[in-house]
Amino acid sequence: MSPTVEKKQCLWHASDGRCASCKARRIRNDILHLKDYEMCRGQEDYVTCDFYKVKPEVPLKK
Amino acid sequence: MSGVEELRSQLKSSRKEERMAALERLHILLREKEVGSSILPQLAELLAASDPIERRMTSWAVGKLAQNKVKGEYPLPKLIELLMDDDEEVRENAAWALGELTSSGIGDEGEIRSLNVLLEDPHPQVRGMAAWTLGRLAERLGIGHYSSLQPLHLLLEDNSLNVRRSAIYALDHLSVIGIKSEPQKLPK
Repeated sequence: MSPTVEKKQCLWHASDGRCASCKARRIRNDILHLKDYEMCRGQEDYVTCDFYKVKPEVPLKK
Repeated sequence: MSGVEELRSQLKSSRKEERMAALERLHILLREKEVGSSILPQLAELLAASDPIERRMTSWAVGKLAQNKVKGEYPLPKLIELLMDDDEEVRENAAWALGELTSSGIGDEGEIRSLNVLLEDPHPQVRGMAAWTLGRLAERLGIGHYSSLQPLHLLLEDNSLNVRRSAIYALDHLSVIGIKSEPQKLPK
């Protein structure tokens, strides 16, 4: 079995741990019945979330 | 000129850069629930923009207005048309907007045929959102049709957890309004 590869930071995963995708939060609340539907658990949620989107890297200013 | 009036004027601009900048500002205001229905006529026009990014941003804005439960004249036929858009995020946003509108009592049977088609969309986020919207139509408005049952049953075997659960959600709510599979009759 191959080791699990960590996914990059999701675009919608805010620094305070919340999910910023209004569509994802709606599904997490209505469909998945997650009590803390606003909170994203990172890697654990990234693998099952259809709304996961890689956060684009911002080039460092010179 | 107030902030929203200025936005309305910028959304009408012939310059795409100005419209895109206005849409970005509008998204921020919508997240803060600081925009009302006066912006809807401009958004209705921009739903037909040729650039898919502009259509994505506009359809998201309509969905967010609906989620904020802003009352107004929503461009329902245009949203239904966008369910068949070439761009997957636009299709997803249109389905989301239609699902959110059910909270305000807006929606009709004309949505069902296109939503059924989306249940077979190659993108899981679109399939899931279409199933959720069918569930919302049944739950909030008591609207549904038997033609959704077969594609929804197929989604119970979908690779995506969200899609499988969305299908269960839709089937449950359709069942409540009396739309459910006939039990298999045993041959005599």
